Amino acid sequence: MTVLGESIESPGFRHYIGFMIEALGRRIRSITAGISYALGFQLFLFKETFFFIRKKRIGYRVLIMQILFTGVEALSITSLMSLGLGAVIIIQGIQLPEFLSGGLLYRILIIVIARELGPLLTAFVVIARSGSAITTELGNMVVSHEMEAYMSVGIHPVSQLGVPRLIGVSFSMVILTVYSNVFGLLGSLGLASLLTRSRIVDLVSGLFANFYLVDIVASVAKSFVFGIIIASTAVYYGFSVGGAVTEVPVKTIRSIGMSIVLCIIADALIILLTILGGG
Amino acid sequence: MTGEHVPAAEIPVVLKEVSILFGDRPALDDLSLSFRRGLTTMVTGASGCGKSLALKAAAGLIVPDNGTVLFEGRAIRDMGEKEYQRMQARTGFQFQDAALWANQTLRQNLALPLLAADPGLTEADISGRIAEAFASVGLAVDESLRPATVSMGQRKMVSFLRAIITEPEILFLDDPGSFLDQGSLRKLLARVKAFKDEGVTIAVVTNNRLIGEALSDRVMVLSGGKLVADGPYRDIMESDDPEITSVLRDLA
Repeated sequence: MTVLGESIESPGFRHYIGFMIEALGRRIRSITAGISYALGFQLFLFKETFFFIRKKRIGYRVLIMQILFTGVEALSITSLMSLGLGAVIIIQGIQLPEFLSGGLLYRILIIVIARELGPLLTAFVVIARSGSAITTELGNMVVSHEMEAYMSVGIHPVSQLGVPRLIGVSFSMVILTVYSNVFGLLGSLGLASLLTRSRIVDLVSGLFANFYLVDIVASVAKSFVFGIIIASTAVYYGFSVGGAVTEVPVKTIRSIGMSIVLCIIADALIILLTILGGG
Repeated sequence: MTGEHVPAAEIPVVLKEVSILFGDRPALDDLSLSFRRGLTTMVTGASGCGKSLALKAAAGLIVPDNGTVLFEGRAIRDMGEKEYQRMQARTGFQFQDAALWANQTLRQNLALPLLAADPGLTEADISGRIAEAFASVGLAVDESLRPATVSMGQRKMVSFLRAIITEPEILFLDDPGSFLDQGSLRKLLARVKAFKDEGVTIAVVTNNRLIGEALSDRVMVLSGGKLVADGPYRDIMESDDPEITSVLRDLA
């Protein structure tokens, strides 16, 4: 029997098969080592986060700067995005006769803005702004030996730089999501009031009547989980830069891609859990 | 030249058969060396011979691919976080490229090691220590500036001050003379000499003969990631071994 013109009994074919098995083995070993390193890194990051309070003054400045950058400076863009999302729903919805009756308007706004697309789109904004910035900054610090400088003074760079970013981004994600939800929902109702000549007070009270605890819990839980995913992924990729400046953009792109994929997976899992939980 | 017997307690830092690989290429190749307590050791060799890597491995900043680095008889690899922190609090490291924290002011670059060593320090204590450090090398620069806005020579001096501000027992200096003008170099050498006189163990990577002459008790010569000579400064400098002279004739 021959494969690609080579007998399977020939030494050349056996050598080729041996080479393929060896390459496959090396690849599996490399992937396994990569996954175990990543898991070890994340465990260490979470352990250090748990003990962050002990660090006293060191690291708090980084935390405050991170909250300012992620939570405060992104307020306008996430609010506009949320408002835009609500406007699209209102403009499309009012063409349906049943939209304003029976609370459909409120449930669609709550589900889309507060529970589903709102947190996810906010996460995408935070990935693009803060996740990429964290990976780039940490990667450049690795290249310029600033991480080694932290080690030389007895400070673990993951504790000093990674932990405040994890806490800052997670906290900011929740705040951003809540803020953009409020802004998006109220802004959408304002637009609906203008377009349908309804009283804004009636619309707001209708919204509250259709808002359930599970909506708030799902929204906050999602944003918190997304924050943890974005920060831990960005920190991991930042620290995984070797020694070359050219690695920084490569790791940043990987960090962004991985964060998006993980957030979508987490989103699906949270939706599933919410549905299984009766929400 | 490495046959002298020295009690283990007198050798705080030991590299045992250390290898560091860049891909498949060994940057340090089965390197064994030690730094003796209270002595100043010059590590020299051609560019790319692994001097800085050896110094970083000795200071516990790089984990070798093979071999062991011992700090006072204890493998750094086996140290827990607290023990590693305690070790680093007793050492200081000046980086070849300064490696100051770019997003912090010069003052913050010096305050952080102080706070890491003693979180209870007050702002007044910190200010006093920083002013003292600046004065000790005659460095007149605005502390509130960030590293990118000062000259490379000033950055190197601040990097040196960051290494010494906690008054370490072991000082690692990686090419301390680079980027410095003669006046600044003289002040830096005077400060290092003061540490030497206090019995601080010093390892200095340099190809600068002036620094070697001024400070060194011993010399280690590296070539291709291996140790090719180790001995008293005069013996090595006056050696007629062609392997040593081929490296030493290129010293600045």
